Amino acid sequence: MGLIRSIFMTELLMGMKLVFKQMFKPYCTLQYPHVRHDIPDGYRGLMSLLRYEDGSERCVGCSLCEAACPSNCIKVVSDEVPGQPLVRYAREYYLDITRCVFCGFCTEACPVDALAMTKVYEASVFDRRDLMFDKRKLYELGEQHLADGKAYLIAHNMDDGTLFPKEGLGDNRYSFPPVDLGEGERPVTVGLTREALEMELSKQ
Amino acid sequence: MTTATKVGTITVTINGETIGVPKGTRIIQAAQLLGIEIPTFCYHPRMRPQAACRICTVEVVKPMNKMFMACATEIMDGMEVLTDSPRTLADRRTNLDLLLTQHPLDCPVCDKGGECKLQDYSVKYGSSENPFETKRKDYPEDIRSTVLDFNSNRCILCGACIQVCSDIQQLSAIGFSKRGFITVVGAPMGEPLDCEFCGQCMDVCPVGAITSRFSKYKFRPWQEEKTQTTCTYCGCGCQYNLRTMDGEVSRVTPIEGVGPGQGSLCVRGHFGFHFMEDAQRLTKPLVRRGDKLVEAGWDEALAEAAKGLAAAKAAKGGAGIAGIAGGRLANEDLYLFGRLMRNALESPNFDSTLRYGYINAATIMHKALGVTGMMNSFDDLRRADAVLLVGSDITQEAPICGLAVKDGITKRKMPVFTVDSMKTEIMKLGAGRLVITPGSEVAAIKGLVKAVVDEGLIDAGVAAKYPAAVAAIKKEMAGTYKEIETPTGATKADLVAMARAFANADKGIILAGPRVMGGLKGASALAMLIDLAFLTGNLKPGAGVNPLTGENNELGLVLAGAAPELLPGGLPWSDGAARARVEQAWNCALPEFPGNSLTDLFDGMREGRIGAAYIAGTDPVRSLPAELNVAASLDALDFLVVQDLFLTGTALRADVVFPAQSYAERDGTFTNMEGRVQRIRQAMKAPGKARPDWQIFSAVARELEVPLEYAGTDEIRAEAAGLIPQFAALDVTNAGHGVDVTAALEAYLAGAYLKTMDDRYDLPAVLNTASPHETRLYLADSLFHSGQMSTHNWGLMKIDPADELVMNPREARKLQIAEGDKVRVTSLLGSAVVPVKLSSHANPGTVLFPKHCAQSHVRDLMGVVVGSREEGSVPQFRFERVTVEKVH
Amino acid sequence: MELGTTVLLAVIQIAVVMGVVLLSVAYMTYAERKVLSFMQDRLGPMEVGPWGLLQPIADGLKLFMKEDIIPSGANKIIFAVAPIICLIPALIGFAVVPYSEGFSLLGGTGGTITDLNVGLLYIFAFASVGAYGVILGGWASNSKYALLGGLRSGAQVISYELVIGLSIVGVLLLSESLSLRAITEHQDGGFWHWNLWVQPVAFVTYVIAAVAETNRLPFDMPEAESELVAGFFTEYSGMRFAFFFLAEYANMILVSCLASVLFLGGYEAPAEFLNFVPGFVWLALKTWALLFFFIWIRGTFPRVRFDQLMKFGWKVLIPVALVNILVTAVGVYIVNN
Repeated sequence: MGLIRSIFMTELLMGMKLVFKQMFKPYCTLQYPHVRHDIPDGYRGLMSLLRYEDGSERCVGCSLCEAACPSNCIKVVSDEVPGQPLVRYAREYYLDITRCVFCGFCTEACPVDALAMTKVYEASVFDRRDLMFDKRKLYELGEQHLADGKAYLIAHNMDDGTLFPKEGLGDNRYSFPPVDLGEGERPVTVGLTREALEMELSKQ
Repeated sequence: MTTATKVGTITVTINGETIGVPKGTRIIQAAQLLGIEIPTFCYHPRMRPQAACRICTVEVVKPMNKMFMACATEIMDGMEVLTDSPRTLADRRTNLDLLLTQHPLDCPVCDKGGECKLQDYSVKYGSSENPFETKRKDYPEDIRSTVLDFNSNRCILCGACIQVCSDIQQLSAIGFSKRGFITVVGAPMGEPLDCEFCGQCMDVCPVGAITSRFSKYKFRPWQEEKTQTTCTYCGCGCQYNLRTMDGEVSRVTPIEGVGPGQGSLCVRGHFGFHFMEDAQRLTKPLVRRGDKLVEAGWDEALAEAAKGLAAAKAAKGGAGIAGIAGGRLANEDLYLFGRLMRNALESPNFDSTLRYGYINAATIMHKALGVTGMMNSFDDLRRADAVLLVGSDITQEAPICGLAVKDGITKRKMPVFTVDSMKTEIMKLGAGRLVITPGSEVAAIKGLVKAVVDEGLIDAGVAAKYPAAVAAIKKEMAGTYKEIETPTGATKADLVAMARAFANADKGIILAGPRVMGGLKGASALAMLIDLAFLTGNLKPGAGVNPLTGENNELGLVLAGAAPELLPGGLPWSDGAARARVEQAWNCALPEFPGNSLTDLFDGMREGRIGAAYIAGTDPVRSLPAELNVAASLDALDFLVVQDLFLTGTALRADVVFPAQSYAERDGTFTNMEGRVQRIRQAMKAPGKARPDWQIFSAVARELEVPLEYAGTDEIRAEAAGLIPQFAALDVTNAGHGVDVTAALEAYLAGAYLKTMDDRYDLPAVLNTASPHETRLYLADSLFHSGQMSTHNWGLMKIDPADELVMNPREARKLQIAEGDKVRVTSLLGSAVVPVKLSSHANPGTVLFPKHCAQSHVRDLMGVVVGSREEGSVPQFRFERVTVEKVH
Repeated sequence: MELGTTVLLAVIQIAVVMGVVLLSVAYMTYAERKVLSFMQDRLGPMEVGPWGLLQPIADGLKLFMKEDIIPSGANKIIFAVAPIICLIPALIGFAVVPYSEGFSLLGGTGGTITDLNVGLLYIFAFASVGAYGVILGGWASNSKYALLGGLRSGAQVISYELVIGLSIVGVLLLSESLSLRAITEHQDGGFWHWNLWVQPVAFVTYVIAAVAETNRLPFDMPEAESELVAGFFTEYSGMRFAFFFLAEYANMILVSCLASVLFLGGYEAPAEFLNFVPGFVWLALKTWALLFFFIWIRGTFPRVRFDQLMKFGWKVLIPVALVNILVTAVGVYIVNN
């Protein structure tokens, strides 16, 4: 039986039949530049920096995004706001989008909802250097795609939709929104082994 | 780490591990011996326990079952302790919860974030959801002080900062104020903090309550690179971590338990890290074209320098070239500079800043005791029974050595006797003091020796063993007390009391400051102090005589032989065997006679004997007064090469200027005053094309066709160690700890001792008796500054701009001078107008002006007397008689 | 017939045939992309012209205007000549393909550019020359990918040309002629006279070997994008690349034409009552049906491994073709006697 099947190439013919039938099925692609997908709110597109309603910069220059970044593409240079002692901000902020892996860890690390990802995915440029985003470019993106950024933060459960307001920070930015890990996710160390504890200690 | 049989008499079991410890050991210390870490905020190994933070709680199972504070509980024999039982962990978590009820969650903007103990313990012991509720504090942060910002919201009131200020620094500049929930830490009465700014409160703060204004928000601990290096400011040689971010220094952090300071730093070390990045740093070699210095390439500048030096050598011989080194240079640079001068240029004229006074210490200590530098280490100071401090404002001049003395005072109530012309800080803490007329240190020392002799305080063993030497001193002490009381202003009773107290101590250490060595009879004064130690039986391990250095690598200068009367190894030039060793090592012939000392060199330049000079790491135009005509001398030279970090007054007169690298940009070693040879390490890139000093010396030698080629500083040090045994081992003190000086002492007592006895105890003439002026002006050392490097720190300049004349407040009131007023200071040589600062630091009849300050030309008012050859040819210019009057 | 008329007739026919063939090549690329797209639930080219109909023209223009790059280290002369060696044999074969029943034109007979009595041999002779183009192009590029592509092509073409040659022997035995027109006319009178029915095995082996011969999937070893970048023409660009491209598609059309002629009755209508439809329409229909089949298997089958390819050629196809010849020869002998 098998021999006859191979002589008459029935499997091959079955495959060809399938492919032939496929020809008459409707297409599933989009005519991209003319028709576009609806981008979902959680989409991780180009990074942007957001501002408060009064136009001041959200970023406090804490470098936590830099620490969280797995591809080391963020560089924050923090400093005191000139003329405003004790107010921390990012004097310079660089994001090398050529190295960015769009994981969104930086937005999760951000304590003040300053970072959000937009729905912009068309990042092509003619000059490679334009992909080294600086602070100005990131805030520009944030202004142009504020709605996207807000939607992103809501979609990723980092905000309740109002965007963390400036008032919560206090004059000297002494408090930040509390981190609620929930009962189950509290880092438990009571059952910690001695070795693990020692390893922890040796790291410090 | 240590076994039970080795350490102690009682045993303790921690987490099932048993260890024997001495009585009085606390649980936390025993745990550290076992390598068990117990969390703590307020405990600090160098301070008394205070059990304030309650986080170090441990469960004691035997002899009673209770919770104890590990930091404060002394161990009982057979105690059993659990450090991570469930009960302990639960208690710790509750403690953290309580601390976190008020602690703000502003870690993202807090400079401590990332190295905060509260963060670490919260993560480790699991405190994030708080069952307690309270109002968080929102006090404005106190940023009124120049350096230290106090954030009371973050403070957990552990009190470590207050403790460090009172126990270690002994200033008590900060304390708790208010009570209960609103307790804050700060300067008393809510005043802005104005202290020495050593910054140790910031270092011990477990949270971000005290932060540095200079590094505010500029770093994150995990972004920094740490480089362990040696401080470049004074002779203490503290070890610290220079922290850099993207090639810029972000801050300096101490290393607990390492180096001479054991983790303490002073203001210069802690906050003087800006000069490396100063915009005025030299970045390219400069060569003279007509009247101007223009930038040039290295090849051009090196060729020019070699040409100029070779021309001078051809015209005037090797002795026609002078070399002057400064204490900024590392050991390797100094050795190579010496070799360049003496070997490649065949010049004996190699002098250095040792000439400002320490040369006397180098020669006398070696001659009498066979020691280079100090006899005792800082650890000996901490353990001594008594300390006699002569002519040194130690907490300003060598702050960390001062901390060692203070440590003895705090922990062991060590008596400290001070003889000085200023009311120094240590004087207030000491057991006895002699406040003397400025410039009369020699008389005061003689008075002490006389008191020892007259009161029969001579050590019995010494009197029996060396009768001839003791008799010789007794003969010199024939005069009356009157001739001592008149110049010093001290009474016989004071002298006798101090001599008696010091002589009765078992291990007495004598510290001699710059006003001893730098005086007119510096060598004799130090010899007298050696006599004093000898008579009181203090020339033994754990006791002795110690000259304090002023500049950073002053002992390195001695070891490299950076003075005409010294050879590498700090040996005297007259030592024929040593000279032969050097000749053999360098494969050259050294000149028969030593060269000229510093002041002779300047005279020689003006007289035309000296045609060229090579000055590295020092700025004599700035540091010497106008009367010495340094500028004119340098102008008279045919050719001058200067190698420095900045375009100094000396460099402006040069024909070739080489840009050198600072200590943070290169590798090498410094020798501290104890004789520890400690590494400096490259932490950042040098500006422009600056090169390390040793490479420049090597390149000049190459141009002179005398190759001195090395792959790195380690190779130079390896070669130098053949002549300088101290360079062989790093990080060990060469002072103290069983130095046996008996052999050297006996040779000295039999020879040079008796020969110089005749004029040793002749008192010098009182300074400038011809002057009609009455007030005595002293150029004092400052805690905040040392000279060129420190004044290029914008940070230190902000803390202390320091061009003020310090006056006694009571005397100022008499003259109707208020703080900040301008006064005219007039001496025989001219006058200068400076602002006034009032402080009881200055005695009535004395005014002080910072030595490093060059702006106000006060230095040029100083008359110079050059000491005799026997007294080290030291140009003495720090005392002058002046009149101070208010300018309207 | 006068020489002038003969030449004129030939030139006209050449112009028409070449025009049709080149246009077919162009739209074969379009058709291939479209058909493959449909098989993959896509739309294919849609941008140039309505439904992307002008895409081949845009592609052609683009290719002819692109920079012509000759890699350093390449053998310049051979590198330049190879595409031409490849293209000419592919086009020259159409000279003997009868596209219609003979008709009189300008006093001569049309329907074939020239009706050689050894037409089939002529085609195979030139097809063998085409292989040189591939091998030389691969060798002259001074590139390891191109060289490997060329080598594979050499081995593959030699193996499968043998199969093609053996496949058609049966047809030759039946029609007793090497002239393509004679072979076509032999199948006259309805589709049941087609050689397909007497030579089914030969037809299958021929089609399989033709796919391999034209370097098409699943036998596109010489190109094998995932292994050799683009095979023997990796280093080619612009016009020279276009020549290779043209040659490949012209070859496909040629082997399809040949298959129509040999097995599907060429320009003959499938039934008597359909004779009113002109012959060239039937030839075109049959050829395009085969071309669709080419695209179809490309859309269906993955590439085989090189050793599988060689094993299949030598151990399966050649023995089958030989047995077919034997059976046919015996059959013909029996029928004739």
